[in-house]
Amino acid sequence: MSLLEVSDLHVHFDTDDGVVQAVDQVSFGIASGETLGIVGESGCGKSVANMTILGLTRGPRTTIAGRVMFEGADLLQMGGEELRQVRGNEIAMIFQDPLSSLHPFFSIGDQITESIRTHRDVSRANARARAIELLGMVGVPEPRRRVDDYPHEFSGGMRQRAMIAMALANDPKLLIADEPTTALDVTTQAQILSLLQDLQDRLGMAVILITHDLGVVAENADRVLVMYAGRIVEDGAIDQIFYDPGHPYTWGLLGSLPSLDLHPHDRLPQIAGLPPSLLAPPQGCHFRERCPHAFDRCLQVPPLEARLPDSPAHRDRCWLSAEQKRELRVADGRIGLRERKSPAS
Amino acid sequence: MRRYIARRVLWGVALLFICSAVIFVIFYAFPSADPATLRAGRAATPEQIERIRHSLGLDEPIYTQFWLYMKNLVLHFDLGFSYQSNVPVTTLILDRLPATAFLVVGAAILWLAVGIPVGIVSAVRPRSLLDRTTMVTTLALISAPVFWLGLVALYLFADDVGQLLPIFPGIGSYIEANTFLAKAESLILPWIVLAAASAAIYARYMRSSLIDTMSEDYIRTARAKGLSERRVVMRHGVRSAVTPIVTLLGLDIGTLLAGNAILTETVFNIPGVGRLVATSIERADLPVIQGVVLFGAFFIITFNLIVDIAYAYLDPRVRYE
Amino acid sequence: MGIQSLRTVSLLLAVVMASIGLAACGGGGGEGTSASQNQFPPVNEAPTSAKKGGTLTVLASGDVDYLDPGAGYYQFTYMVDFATQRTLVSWPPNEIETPQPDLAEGEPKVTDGGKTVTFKIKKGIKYSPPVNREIKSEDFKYAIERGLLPGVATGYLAPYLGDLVGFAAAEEAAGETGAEAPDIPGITTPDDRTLVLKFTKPVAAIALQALSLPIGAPVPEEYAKQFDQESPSTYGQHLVGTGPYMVENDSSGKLTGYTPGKEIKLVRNPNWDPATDYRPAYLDAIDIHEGFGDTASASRKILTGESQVNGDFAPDPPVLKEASQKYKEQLMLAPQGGNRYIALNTTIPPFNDINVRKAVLAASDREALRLTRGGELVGPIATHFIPPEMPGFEQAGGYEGTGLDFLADPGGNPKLAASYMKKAGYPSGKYTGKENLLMVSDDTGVGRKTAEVELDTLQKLGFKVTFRPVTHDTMYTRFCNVPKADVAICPNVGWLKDFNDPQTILDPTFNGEAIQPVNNSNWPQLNVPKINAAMDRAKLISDPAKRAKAWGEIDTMVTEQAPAVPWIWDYFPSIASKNVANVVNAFNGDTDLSFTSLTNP
Repeated sequence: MSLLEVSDLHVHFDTDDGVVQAVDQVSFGIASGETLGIVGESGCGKSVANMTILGLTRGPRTTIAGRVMFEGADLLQMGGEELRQVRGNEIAMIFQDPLSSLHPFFSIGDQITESIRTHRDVSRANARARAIELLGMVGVPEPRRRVDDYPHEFSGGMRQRAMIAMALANDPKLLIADEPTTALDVTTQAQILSLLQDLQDRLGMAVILITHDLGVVAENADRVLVMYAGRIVEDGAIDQIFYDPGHPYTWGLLGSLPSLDLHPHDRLPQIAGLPPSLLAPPQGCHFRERCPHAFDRCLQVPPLEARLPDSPAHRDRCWLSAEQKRELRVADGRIGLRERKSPAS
Repeated sequence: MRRYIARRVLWGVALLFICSAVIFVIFYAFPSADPATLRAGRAATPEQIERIRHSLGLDEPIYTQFWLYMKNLVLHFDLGFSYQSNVPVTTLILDRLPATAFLVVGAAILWLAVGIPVGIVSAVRPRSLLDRTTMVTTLALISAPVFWLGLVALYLFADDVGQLLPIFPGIGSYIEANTFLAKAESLILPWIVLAAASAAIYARYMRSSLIDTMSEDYIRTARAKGLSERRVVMRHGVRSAVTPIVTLLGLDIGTLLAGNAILTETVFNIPGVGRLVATSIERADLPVIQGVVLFGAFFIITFNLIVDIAYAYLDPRVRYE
Repeated sequence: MGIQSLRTVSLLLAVVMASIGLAACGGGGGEGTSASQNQFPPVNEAPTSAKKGGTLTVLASGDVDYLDPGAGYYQFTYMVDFATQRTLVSWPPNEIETPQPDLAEGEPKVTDGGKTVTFKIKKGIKYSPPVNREIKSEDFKYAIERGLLPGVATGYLAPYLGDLVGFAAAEEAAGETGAEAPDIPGITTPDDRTLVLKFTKPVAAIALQALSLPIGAPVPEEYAKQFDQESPSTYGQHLVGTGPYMVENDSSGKLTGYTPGKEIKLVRNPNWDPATDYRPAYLDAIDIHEGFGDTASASRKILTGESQVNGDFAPDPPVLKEASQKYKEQLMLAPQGGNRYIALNTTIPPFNDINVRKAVLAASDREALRLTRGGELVGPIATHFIPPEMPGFEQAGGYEGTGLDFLADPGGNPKLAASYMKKAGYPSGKYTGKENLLMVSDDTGVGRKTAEVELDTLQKLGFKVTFRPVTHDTMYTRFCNVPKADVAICPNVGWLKDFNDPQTILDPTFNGEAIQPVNNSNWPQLNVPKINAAMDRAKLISDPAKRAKAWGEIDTMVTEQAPAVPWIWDYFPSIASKNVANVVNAFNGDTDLSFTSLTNP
């Protein structure tokens, strides 16, 4: 049963240089309690798509099409007042850099209680007590003292915990975490991810985990979406993505993961080239120009479909046949993207 | 924090000392009227002039004069006597200060009350008709010279010579006024004139500061929390955006009290500090010039300090420098 | 907020004046040198229906110089002094020839061949509070003697009373001790009611006139002494007087009604007895409001408002024009007894050549110069230096002048100028030498305009001129009044009479012996022994007719030397609000506060 169902989402920005097609044909769903990972490089549209869910991209020069169904209502059609009741309440969002994402002038406690009192009619004292409780829940030591501290008085990891505490203030059903660990060191990263996992188990909320790092989703996601240049190029269960990936871009991502098998002086494999400009994306498959296996059919946009009969939930956007994929995705004994030999046709 | 203030105060005192020295040097280095001759009158003989020069202490070397001056200032708070009128300089300045203060404070209230809201509204609706209108109007007001604005205001609205709507008291009415209310009334046109350019500047500053602030990440977070747009703008946006304005305000008020309102004071004949320093410069009345400069420096330094403390109060990140 | 520097203050006035000046162009009369009829002759007597009461407001741009009667030496100060400080002899508003006895009882007696003057002092004249006592002759002696103190420094003591017996020694003594007023043996007081002045030369006639200036006001020694011990003297902040009005003060005598640069409040002197005075004193109070930097607005304010007059500024030319057309009843043009001229430094080449100077005079367009002040309205074009209504004026040629060819054309005569340049050795008719001439003028207002007109004339004659505008006071004290500064042209100079004698106009300004290294008023530095000797002789003549003739001849001799371009004997425009029955004092051309009244007090 889907908690949130995104159907055919399009988001276009009308800029002075032209129309940027930031999000194109994006559809996915997430169920209660599930963790969905969304992976892709900068500019692929993952953040924009998720912010659009909460209506944070609305503006006079923005065109949004599609549907986002949440608890029987289409969030994209909701007016500002209705939407505000959802934000920070039933759906919460946390962002990448907690230092810039928290207001520097107000204490953590103030910002959390603000979140609480926006959606609930409680006294300040009660809200403050709840804030302290939340800080304790996310693992901030001495919460009673630290509730009055300012964001800049926290360390990076503590700050992100505080941000999570703020997001959880009203028991959201869905937490969207936009690169929550990117700004943190690896150890802290692990702590935060483990915290999220823990909270999710306890509170039963769904989590959308947005990241550019496959390693992050490996431990934590149930299902993964891979996005490229505004489109979803592959989505499936975590094992399917890791062990049976169906899209060349996914092969490239997997191939670029550091591995213990690599020799110390080997260069990490990279995907050659750069993502296309979203002002004038290439015709057909967006990955065509960087894909070593592109052929003439790629000039048509491949639909996002399940390609294997016994895995209906595993979809990708590639014209190659299943056999071709199994053969071409191995490079040097591992899954990866081979080098391009000639320019795309 | 206390150490911070103490350091600033000491630095302020040093600055005052440097200001006095610089004024002394300027006065002697550049040709201006000779105060002894002015004092002596038009048919005085050279001997008489010399006698007066001696009685004013002007025949001593510069450093002696400076030393005597500083001694008097520090030990007795005595700023000397005006060469022109023999009245103590402190009396002259303290007599002029209330008029300038009244003018400046009134104008400041007016320009903040107008400029800040206009700036906020323009920022929240960038490129709307309101915004564009505001930008053009503010540009016009900033470009218009104050004395021109004053003369036009008088021409239109002064109750004695006004052509359009003669309802406000005109020039010289401040001196004529005896009660607090009458004085306030006489300052209505000067307030508007002095506040006009500032309101425009503050509106623009507020607008650009708020536009910058609204693109910050924490604004996005505030919206994501479900706060009303009004709260997002006012509590999260304006609260941040207004801090550079506070700095500007402190500097503006400090310099205005130091005599920067001179054009407004001249057009409306308000007997303030600005007028005093202007006539003193023309008449080479060094003690008065020195006195006004010191007062002015004192105000600017003080207001800078106040503003910095206010800034620390507003922005917690600053408190630990 | 942009920094509004002082330059922009000048800019304010310059911009206002510039737009004004442009409007003033056009319409120059060009009536030659015939006397322009004064279209707005001043009223010098109070109307018979004058009413008592009310407060008059005087608007001023600057301040008086000093209220201390010993120190004041400025026309605007006299406006206040005439109402607050009665003197031995003084000027009723319709009198310009000889001052009338005021505190003196009857006419003073001149004896001993003009070397001695005896005054009898009126009875029953009291000082204003807190001194309150009757005046006595010793008070006049003290008033003159304190003028020698450096803390008082009367500016005109030496020229007019310097021949008192023992003056020089007293001057020395004052310089040394500095705190005690020295004794001048030439002033004696045989009794409380008698004052005798003895001179070493027969100058009594002049000295007598000089006592109409504030130095002739009594000062109570026992009260003033403590203040005179300070230097500068603080008597000016505690002064008392004998006039119908006084500056508001407190019970200790400290002035509360004077804030320098801001205002002076005059109230009735309770100890003044109208039976002893020719002044009617209609007004109950007079408020002088100072600091009106924008004189155009201030002038308009007076013309359209109530109960106001101008104090120390002349209305700007366009406002003057407007007044002459729309507010005719409120404008009076009063001769001031002064002149304006453009001084040429006779010690600097090429101006040391009289032919070059004559060329400059011939080339100067005095009508254009006059236009910068407002044109025909502001006074007749000057053809020599003694102004109208002064003895010696007619003898010097009156309005027509002495018939000198280089002053015959008020609009200038370029051909004649060229011929004088040729005589001076410049065959092209233009200056071709290498000298660079320094011209120092006012930097704002009408003064600057006048300078620019003459600058143009000089440049057309081929002179290379460095034009240096500076503030008014700097122009005098650092440049024009300092011979060492070698200023070749001072375009904004002139002289106002001290009283109705041509000596006061010609002696400090054209006598070679009056040249001094600082504070010099003989700007052309004219030093012709024949003229100097003539002046020294003329100073001693007592017979009025002979005196007038002698000085008239001196004026002619000076004018023949072409040391300066005389261009106007200007009026002082006195403007008043509709409800003011303005009475102008003919002596200084300013409103006489003791005779003016309101029509609706």
